Amino acid sequence: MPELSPETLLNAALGLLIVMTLAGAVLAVTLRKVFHNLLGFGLSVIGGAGVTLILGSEFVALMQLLIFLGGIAIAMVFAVMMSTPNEQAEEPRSAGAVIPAILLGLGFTALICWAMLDGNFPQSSPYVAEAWSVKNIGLLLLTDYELPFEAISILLLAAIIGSVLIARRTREPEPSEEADRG
Amino acid sequence: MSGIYLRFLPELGLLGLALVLFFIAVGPGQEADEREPADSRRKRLIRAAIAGDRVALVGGGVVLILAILAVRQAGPLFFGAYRVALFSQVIKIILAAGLFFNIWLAQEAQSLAPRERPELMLFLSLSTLGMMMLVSADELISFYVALEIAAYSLYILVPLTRGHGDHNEAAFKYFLYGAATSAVALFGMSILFGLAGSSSIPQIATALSANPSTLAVTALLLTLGGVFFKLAVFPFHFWAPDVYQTTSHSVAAFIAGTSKVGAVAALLRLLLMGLSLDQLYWLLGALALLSMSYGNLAALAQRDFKRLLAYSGVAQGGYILLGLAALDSAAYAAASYYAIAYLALMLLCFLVVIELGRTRHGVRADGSTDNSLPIDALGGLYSRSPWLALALMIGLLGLAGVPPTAGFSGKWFLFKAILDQGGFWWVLIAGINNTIAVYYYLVVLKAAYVTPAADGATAIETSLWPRALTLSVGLGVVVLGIAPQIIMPTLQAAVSAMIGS
Repeated sequence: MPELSPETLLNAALGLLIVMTLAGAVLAVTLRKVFHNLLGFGLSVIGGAGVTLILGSEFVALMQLLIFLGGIAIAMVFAVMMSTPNEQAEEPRSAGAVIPAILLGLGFTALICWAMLDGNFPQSSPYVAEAWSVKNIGLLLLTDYELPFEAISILLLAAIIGSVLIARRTREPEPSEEADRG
Repeated sequence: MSGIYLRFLPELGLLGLALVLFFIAVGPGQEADEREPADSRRKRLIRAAIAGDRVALVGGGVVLILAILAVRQAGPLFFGAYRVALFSQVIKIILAAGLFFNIWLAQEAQSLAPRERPELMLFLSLSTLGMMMLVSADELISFYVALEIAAYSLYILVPLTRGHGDHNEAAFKYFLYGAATSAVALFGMSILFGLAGSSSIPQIATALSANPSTLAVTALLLTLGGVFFKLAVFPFHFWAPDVYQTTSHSVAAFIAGTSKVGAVAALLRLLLMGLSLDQLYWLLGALALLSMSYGNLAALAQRDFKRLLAYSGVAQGGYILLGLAALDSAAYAAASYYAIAYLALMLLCFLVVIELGRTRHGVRADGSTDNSLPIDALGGLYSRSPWLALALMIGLLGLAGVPPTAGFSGKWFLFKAILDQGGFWWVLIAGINNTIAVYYYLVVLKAAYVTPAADGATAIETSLWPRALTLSVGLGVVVLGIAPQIIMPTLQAAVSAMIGS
């Protein structure tokens, strides 16, 4: 049995993770039950986090798992469980809608792949563990990336107020709809 | 030290205004009490709504003054993530003016429930804040977050109209298109970051100019796509007619005017990186010609005035894009000038829409508001309200590019700048398009001036506010049209300074 070098193993793991990411994405789009779509999304996120880990950024990989899987996917599961009536009848997708969508998606992918072949990405600086440390990321968030860091809080506030506002519309009807038209 | 605060003054003012409006929106008077009689609750809500309207109007005026005060500021902020320059400051004044006039138009808005009017003002301010940050953002993540602040506020505003009707469908369409184009833009930005190894826009510009590739153009186009959606140019316009037609008039006015200026400024911000990529010239030019031809032809068939304005907006976005495609400072200045003129003309058109909307209590069987405005409803406008008819005439003639309005000089500058770049065929197609457009603008004017009023249509009492707005904005359009040298040199200096740096 030939000796497996660490590089081969790493590449194999990377390939596996990429397949996992893609398979998850395909499941998330093709399956007909919302819950199954969510599982596919989760699989895709785990694969993506694995790729990030292999590329040497532990913190980002961990955050991806925590935020996307632990936060967003779980929130979506709750939303589905609370809102979808049990076992809705599923209409089959019409070929008229699916085929153009597939063609468009494949065309876009082909275009990007074709463009990528032409791109020359600069060689990244050699891997420095220090560069991706939590300390460094914290420093960057309070210096170079302070503005987006603060602006995101405005964005989140707007999104929260907005979702409360829109949820309120469906829950309590406006008082005396007609009377104040005056 | 004080200079640093001065540089951020308009944005700080808007943030303060948003905070005050937030407290009005959640403040005393908004909570529901079961024991309170419905009548007194309604009065309380209306009082709060009027308070919100007035506070927003005063605040909008203050922000406009702050923006004017901050015009001479220049320099970086936030560790280089934000850059204040003449270009950004001029655009901020325009945005602040747009917000102020939009708040003015939205005073005592009829198509919104009183309970939701403070929120209308809040999100108008937040959206403008996002656009202001967009113009100054010098770093991709800040750019993206600012774009999202501007967009999210609009996603929330579009469904804010009385009752539940097909505006929900339009709002959902708008949100889905917005989310999809935003994802595409983010993808483009990630490639730009990969190519440059930095998220700073000037560094990306240097990297791309040093090493232009098909991938660089593709990534830039994807990034621009996120903004094309906001400008509603051809393949990104599908939401516009539905949203214009079904959302409340005040929100439609903001989307049609102020948000377009924000979009043009954001496009300029990205193109002003000083790129000269040949493929971009052809791609943007083709997009512009498609957009104006499609918009004008589709507008011909419209029976609803708001839908017509939406399709005409698609076409007008095409003219602006043509200026951007020329990749030249004179054309950029012309495009900015045209965007400013377009904002003023939209304010005039929507003044008519809003004032007419106050007299049309269109309620459907399901209790939702009918926010559409058929062109027939404009019949006899001249006899019903000469003021509104005047506003409509200046607005439409300006859009059609008739002298002496700013719409004419704007098109003049645009076409001249493109001709100087050797784009004869482009100008020819744009000119043919403009001729088509004159037809449908005149159809609306004919309805307003020649067609007699429908039976039972009464005179429209225009109060002091709409008259003052007609006068001030209408006068502005004409003065700007006769004497464009008032702002043209400033715009040119601003644009050249951005390219030079």
